[in-house]
Parts: sequence; C-alpha cells; structure tokens
Amino acid sequence: MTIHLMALHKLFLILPILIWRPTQSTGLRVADFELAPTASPFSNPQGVTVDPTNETLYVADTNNSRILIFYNIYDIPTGAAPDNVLGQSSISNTDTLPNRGSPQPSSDTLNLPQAVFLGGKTLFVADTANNRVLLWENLAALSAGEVAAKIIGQTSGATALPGSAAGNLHSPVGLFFRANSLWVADQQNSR
Amino acid sequence: MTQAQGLLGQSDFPDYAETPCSATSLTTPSSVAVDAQEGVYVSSVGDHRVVGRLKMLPSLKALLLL
Repeated sequence: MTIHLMALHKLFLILPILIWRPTQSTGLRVADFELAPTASPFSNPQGVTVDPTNETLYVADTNNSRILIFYNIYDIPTGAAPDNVLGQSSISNTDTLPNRGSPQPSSDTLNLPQAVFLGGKTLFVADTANNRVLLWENLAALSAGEVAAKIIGQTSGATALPGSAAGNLHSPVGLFFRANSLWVADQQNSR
Repeated sequence: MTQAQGLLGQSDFPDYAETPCSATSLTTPSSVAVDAQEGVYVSSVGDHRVVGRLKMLPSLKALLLL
C-alpha cells in the first residue's frame, strides 16, 4: 500500500511536466477551447485582444459588424456564449447588419471592424469600413451597444469619409497602443 | 536568422496545407492575443471561430497545490 501511494505521488509531480513541456518537434497541438457561438455565430472574426486584469476577451466579429465580449476567460468552456456586444444593440443573430442597417454610421455602430486592441483601460476598435477608430472606456460598466467615448479619423460620429490628411483614415486594419501612443495600420493610405 | 520556437495549426514547419476544421487546425488566422497566464487566443477566420490554448488547465493547477 505504501508503494502505491508513493507511485501516485510521483505521478502528480511528473504529470504536468509531461503534458505541458513545450516541444519543437511538433506543432500539432489540440486547442483547449473553441469559441464558435451557436446561437449567434461568428462571421469572419478577424481581431482578438485580451484584458488580463478583468479576465475579458474581445473579438472583432468582422462580417457581423460587432465586437463580442467574453468575461471570465480563465474558466471559459468550449462553445461559450458571448456576454456582451458593441456595435449592435444585442447579441442576437438578427442584429448583424453594418451600422445597424442604416446608410450612415453613428457613435454606437460598426461596419466591418477588423482589429481590436486593449491599451490600458481603453478598448480601441478599428472600424475599418467606416474609416475610423472608436474608443470605449469604463469597460467594467459597458452596456450592450454602448456609445463610443471617442472617435478618431472622422469629425463626427455620423460620417465615414475616407481621407489622407493627418486627421483622416482610409480602411484602418491594425492597432497597437503603448505609452500613450496609438499606432494605426492605415491600409488604403499605405501608411 | 531568428527562427520560430513554436508552432500551432500545422504539424511541422515545412507544412502549409490547410486541413479540415479540427481542434488542431487553423484556417486563415488573422490575429493573436496572449493573456496574463500565457494562454493564447487565435482568430481562425476561415473557420468562423476563435481557438485558444491554455498554458495550464485549472485541474492541473489544483494537482500542483496538493
């Protein structure tokens, strides 16, 4: 009996090492979880970013013109449903039209957003087809379809004009924020 | 030349073929993020999903605490 207990003890010590030690000989690793919500599926989800402090994952669900938000990511199960949404009024799969079906944007709509980035306490979204970047703050208290706090690239929330001046954007597709500076890959301006 | 130290989505570095959607595959991945516990999240655009790999499962953490 004593021998069995010792063997089990050794197994506990060895098991994590055997499973999780990185190897360079193969990259064929099974995903621990998969997010593909069945009630309101992704359509070409292009951007992901994580808020490690608040354990939140943000997904730019590009072709549904929305950002889906998953809380408690360290306990996230496969197939988890999103907890919140930006760009649409609800998580429903019927709310997926660009700019919520309007010909013009507003400060709470999106049109094919391709990138999302969390910098400090601010969420930056590349609202690609609206030629702008939207900022959301106070992330712990977001409501579904919350209005963006700030807009970059347009002079108002109701325009989506492309431009090449210093204050304009034309199809922003990539974002990075650090040290109070926002970096934008302004694709159609080649800059 | 710096070489990649890890690989996800293919079986080895010379491989490039897309495989049918599975728990080990990616299709036109577009973005990647890493959390504070070194979990990795990848948008697999062509599969219409986001897949993730945790560095350490909670159940194994519990074992380590024993």
